[in-house]
Amino acid sequence: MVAIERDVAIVGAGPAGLTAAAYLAARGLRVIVVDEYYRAGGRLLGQRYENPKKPPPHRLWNGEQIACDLEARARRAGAEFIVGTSVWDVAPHWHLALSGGTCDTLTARALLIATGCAERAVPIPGWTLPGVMSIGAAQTFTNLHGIRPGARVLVAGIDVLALSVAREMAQAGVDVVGMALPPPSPPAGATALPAEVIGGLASAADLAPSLALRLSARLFGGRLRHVGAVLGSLDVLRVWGIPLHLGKAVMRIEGRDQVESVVLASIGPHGKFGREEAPVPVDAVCISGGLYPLIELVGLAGCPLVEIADLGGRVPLHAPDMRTPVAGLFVAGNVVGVEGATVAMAQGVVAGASIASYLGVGGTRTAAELASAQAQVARARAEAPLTFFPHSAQGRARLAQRWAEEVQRRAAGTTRVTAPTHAVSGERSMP
Amino acid sequence: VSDSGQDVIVCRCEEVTLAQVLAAVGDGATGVAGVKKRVRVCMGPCQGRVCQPIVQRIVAAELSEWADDIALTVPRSPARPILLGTL
Repeated sequence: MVAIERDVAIVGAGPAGLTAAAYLAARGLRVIVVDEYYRAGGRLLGQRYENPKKPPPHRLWNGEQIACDLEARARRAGAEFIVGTSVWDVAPHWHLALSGGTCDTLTARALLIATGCAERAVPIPGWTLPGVMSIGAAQTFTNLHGIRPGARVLVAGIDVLALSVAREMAQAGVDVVGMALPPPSPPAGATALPAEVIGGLASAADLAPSLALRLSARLFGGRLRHVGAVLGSLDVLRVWGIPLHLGKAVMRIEGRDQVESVVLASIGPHGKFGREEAPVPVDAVCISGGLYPLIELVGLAGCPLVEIADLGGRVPLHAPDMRTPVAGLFVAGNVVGVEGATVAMAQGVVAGASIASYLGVGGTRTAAELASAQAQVARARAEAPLTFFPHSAQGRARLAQRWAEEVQRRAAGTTRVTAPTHAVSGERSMP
Repeated sequence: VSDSGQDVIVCRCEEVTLAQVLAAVGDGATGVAGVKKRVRVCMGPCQGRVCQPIVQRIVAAELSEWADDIALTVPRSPARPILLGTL
């Protein structure tokens, strides 16, 4: 039984966890970061793209390099890392149960949960065949490990992340035969509706060099009655040489022991099926269904959860300074809503300053640093090359309102937060 | 959803099909927890990381409600798969 004790425990060594660790260690606090992967960096590790909003010398976003730099900065400041280790339970003030590494328990005065997000799966008939993977897995294979996900790949799901990864695969020599929508079904939701998908692509218009896409996204996004008329012409649209089938869905993935082909069918703007086409031979399929925050540990720590679709799903109730209603528990990064890495990095500093203040370190300087870090979050949002959820600002406003209500309730002394308040199970007509 | 698509796997860990999830809703489940107790979705190694968001949307569609009005399961320990030696 190996037990260790520090001032601050951080779960998740992604962009938020790393900047928080560097900030806190630099202020003399004993900080330890735990991550499940074999190395620090989180989703930064697979990111590699160009941001045309930046001047040429700063255009390339090399996530792996940024992750290495952030980790080195945190280590120089004195932060320690435990990698290849899962946190599987959290008890208040604060005891973490670990598995997979050499350490079993971790005790800390403050806890930052920066667990990021996970991918939403979309079940398509045949999706359990070897050769089918999530778009995030394809990104990691291609950009981090230098392994092609397949020789001929079809991408199911058309969104900003899928577009970016499809281009990266093509640049790595993969024959990306095309991108099409998932079949219309409840789990696919809006990701299968051409009208919604075209609207969502508007946020990627700055990234896409294709004028046609830019025009279609800007002109037709959200204006449903026009979509049907342009769908036929959009169906032959190519972006970076990759055919974008905005009017077709992947009905089935076929193969005996592994992926051999996909069957596409045309669909109308609101999800009505057309005729199936002849199978297209492929050896891999990447499914992209969007991202959602990973809140298991926040829930176990007793933080109330609020379901806000515009932020990606259930998120922890928290203040603008990344405090939660639970004393000593802080959150940062995509666990509070799916956004880009630069926003997460800024949020990590905000959480760091809040934790320093909570632990009584830094005095008045901490307050100034907190304010400037919050301003940096707003700047990072404004400069982000793409948006995952087009209405995230409204989502954050709803969450801020919930926080204000929470503060009011607590001032009135009517409630004390101890555990999540979700109903365990709704059942119809219980006798 | 077409009838032919009902044998698609929804929960990979426990190999639960769409038809089984729909049957659970027909049997009275109104949230993910109700489906979980009936057909074991969310009970495998991934503890619902893959299937829970899918099941939420299926239940919502069956009951004609918004997905965010369908209750998800309460997070429980162990949050991640752990080694036998840890127990």
